[in-house]
Amino acid sequence: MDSSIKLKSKVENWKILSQFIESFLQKCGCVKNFIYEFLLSCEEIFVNICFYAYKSAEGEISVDICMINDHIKIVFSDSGAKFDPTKFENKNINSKIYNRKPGGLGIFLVKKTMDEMKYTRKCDKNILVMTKKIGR
Amino acid sequence: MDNRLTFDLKTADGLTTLYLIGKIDTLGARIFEKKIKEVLAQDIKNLKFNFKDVEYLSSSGLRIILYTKKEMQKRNPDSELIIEDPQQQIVDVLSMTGFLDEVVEVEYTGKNIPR
Repeated sequence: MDSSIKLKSKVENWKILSQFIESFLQKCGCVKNFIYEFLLSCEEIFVNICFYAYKSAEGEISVDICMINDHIKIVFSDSGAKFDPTKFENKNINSKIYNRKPGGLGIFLVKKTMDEMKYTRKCDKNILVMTKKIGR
Repeated sequence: MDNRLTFDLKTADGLTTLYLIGKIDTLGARIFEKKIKEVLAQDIKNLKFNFKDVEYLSSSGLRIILYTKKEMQKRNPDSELIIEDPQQQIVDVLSMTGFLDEVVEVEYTGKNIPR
């Protein structure tokens, strides 16, 4: 089972994307908690692409989602500036909360809730693949 | 489906409770931020968030919670920020990010204790 969508890099489009992802995961029989954690990670990635890869410019973001055996795999690709979310550092998270810089919290959540996150830069595109085992 | 975040503000015996209803994603966090600034503009000493009807919280919402706590502490260094009746998946996120106990306290009013 697989599905795809293309969206403009506007934060407001998270609403459309979240509904797209949610209905796919429901069709796959995923439970509420899995859907929540999966959406949480996807939101962080989508918003980061809008802010960091495209900055103020508007571009396109492609999202492909599929179920492979007992895993859900999602691929984000965009033509924005090179942006590798896997390189965001977590050192922030152990420091006293009030001294933390605002960035990095979202990516920290992605690393916590997804099983795998892999970034490649190919043909001037950012490609981010994330997978999560169903039932985790 | 409209997932716009809505609010209900109740004050009793000097304690103000802001009930949040909906999703606190990046879009909801913008509405949340506007609302909290409005609430904090009043002379409030104790503030609680009721999260019974919050089904989704992302890092953008966590930032507003942290902002609220900092603003409350400017008024009173001992002030606590309580989140009332959160659903289990929200508690998990608060715990994962170190917010639980360090920024917020979680309280249950009785009928909403998760599994």
